Amino acid sequence: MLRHAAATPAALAVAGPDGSLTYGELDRLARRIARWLVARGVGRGDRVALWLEKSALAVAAMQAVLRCGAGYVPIDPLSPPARCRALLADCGVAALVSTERRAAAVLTGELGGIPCLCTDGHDRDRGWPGTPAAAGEEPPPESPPCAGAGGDDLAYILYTSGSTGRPKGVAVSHRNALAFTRWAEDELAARPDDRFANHAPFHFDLSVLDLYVAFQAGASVHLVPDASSFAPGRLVRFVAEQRPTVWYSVPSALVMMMEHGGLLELDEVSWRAVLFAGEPFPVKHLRRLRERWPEVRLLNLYGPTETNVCTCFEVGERAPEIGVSLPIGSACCGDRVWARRDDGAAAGPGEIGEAMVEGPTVMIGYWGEAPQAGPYATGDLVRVLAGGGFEFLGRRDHMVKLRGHRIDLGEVESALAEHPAVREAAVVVGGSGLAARLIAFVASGAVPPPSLLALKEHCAARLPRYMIVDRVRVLDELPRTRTGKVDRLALATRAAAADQREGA
Amino acid sequence: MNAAAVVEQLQAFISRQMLEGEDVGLTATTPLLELGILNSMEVLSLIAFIESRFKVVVPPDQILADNFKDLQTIAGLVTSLGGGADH
Repeated sequence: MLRHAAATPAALAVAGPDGSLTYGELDRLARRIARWLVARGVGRGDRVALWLEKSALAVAAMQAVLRCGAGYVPIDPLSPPARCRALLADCGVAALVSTERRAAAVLTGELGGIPCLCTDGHDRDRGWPGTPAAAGEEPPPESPPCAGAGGDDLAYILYTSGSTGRPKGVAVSHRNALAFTRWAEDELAARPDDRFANHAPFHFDLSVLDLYVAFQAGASVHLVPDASSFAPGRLVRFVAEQRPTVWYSVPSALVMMMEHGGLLELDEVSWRAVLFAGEPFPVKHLRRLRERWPEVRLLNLYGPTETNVCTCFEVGERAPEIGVSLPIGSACCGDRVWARRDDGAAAGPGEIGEAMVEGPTVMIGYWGEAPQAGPYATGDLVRVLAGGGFEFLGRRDHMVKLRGHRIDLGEVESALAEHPAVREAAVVVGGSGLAARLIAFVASGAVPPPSLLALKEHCAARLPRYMIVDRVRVLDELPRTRTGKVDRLALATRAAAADQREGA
Repeated sequence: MNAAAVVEQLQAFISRQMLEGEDVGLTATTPLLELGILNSMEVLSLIAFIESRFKVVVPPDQILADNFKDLQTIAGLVTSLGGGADH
């Protein structure tokens, strides 16, 4: 980024809902924010949380945090304050970048002393360093003392759903992030005239490609506003107007754009590469995309947040036949990926095992826990394909993916169990793809039993929006297996039966 | 039909389709998006309902979170599109 700021300061770096910044402007704004942070004691190894809507300013704030030698912690702007507080406390942030209203909701009690740079006004003592629009007018201040962070230093922490009812912070180093972004830059042959769309929110690991590969190549990144990210008509218009050359999103977004946004009816498309990850792309829809624009590269990336991207499959001239699943491909980014059978041996062609990942993209570890040692066991079941590479089959545990969001059902269950009228709760997924829903089975002796709306409100105060239950079934007792565990299979069967009735 | 009647019809549809007919006490200002009652897919099925019931076309650029946050706001969108005038 610094190299491009010096070489091509007038080139567009980022276009967001709040305005655009050239490389020179982004550099100046990032330096000013970094100075603000350094003045408040932020330094190498510290954490700075970003709890704000997607914007060019947020991008500058990320750059600023990295320049201080610290790591940034992007928090879902839709998270309720209680969850934000829990995350701030978990990773012990040195500062927050947010809005006044949001800051007032979380920086109380034990967190009251954390300094906040409020993007909608002024910070509490010194004055806000400037909006993007004003960034170009200010004389460039001298550089902040760069802490020289890199290598194994923390770059960012992304929080994911955790089984114990507590979210887990995936700590990613500069080395981890660069292993991925350098691979992607090379794979895409990214150029300064590329225009990267950024669809994913910043707390989602997909955004790392958009932001950093663009900056490595001296290209521009175009932010899809949060409010448009699942509005199909808006997304298609974004593509038509912003003319991105590289697009990266969950398949759900692309399917919605095709089904409800008129994507395939565009006369032409600016894309040269479309990448997707986070969930399987339904082959039926992928075939339509392939047939409509045969010249666009289509890449299926795979990897949990803990390993960023570790495999890649490029869809050829002909998409897979309907009924055949799309492979996740072979190892990339310098990682070694294999499938471990239950007996510990490596699975051979045609065999199934748990995907194991070792290499430069594997995280430092979960924040506050021992560093990751040895290969990372993903919990994903894969089949080794005869021609090389892997096919994704599903999860070993209670983690599910809903429209690309990773949800540990245990975390939803823990939240429900905190409700006074709930004795015990088990959550299963009903339906599939875009119609998938979270169905909670709740044991309650309360009269009347807790209503769906009451439990939704309860979840909404504790969990991100995509983890709020969709359906509630109140039972006297949860069904048990002979060993006394909750009989999830029985619950899943009931959920599937109800789903069929609903669909009928 | 006035705005209140539009709210009533929307409420009946959402209760039936998204809340399994359960009378949960949905009001004109219940935050539908914040509570995950409407997600991105359900907004689309609601739009299909609005278009057929109120004989309006919801332009794609009106499919915004701000327009679907609660029943009152959705009813405002419907009436601004000329729906619910006289049926």
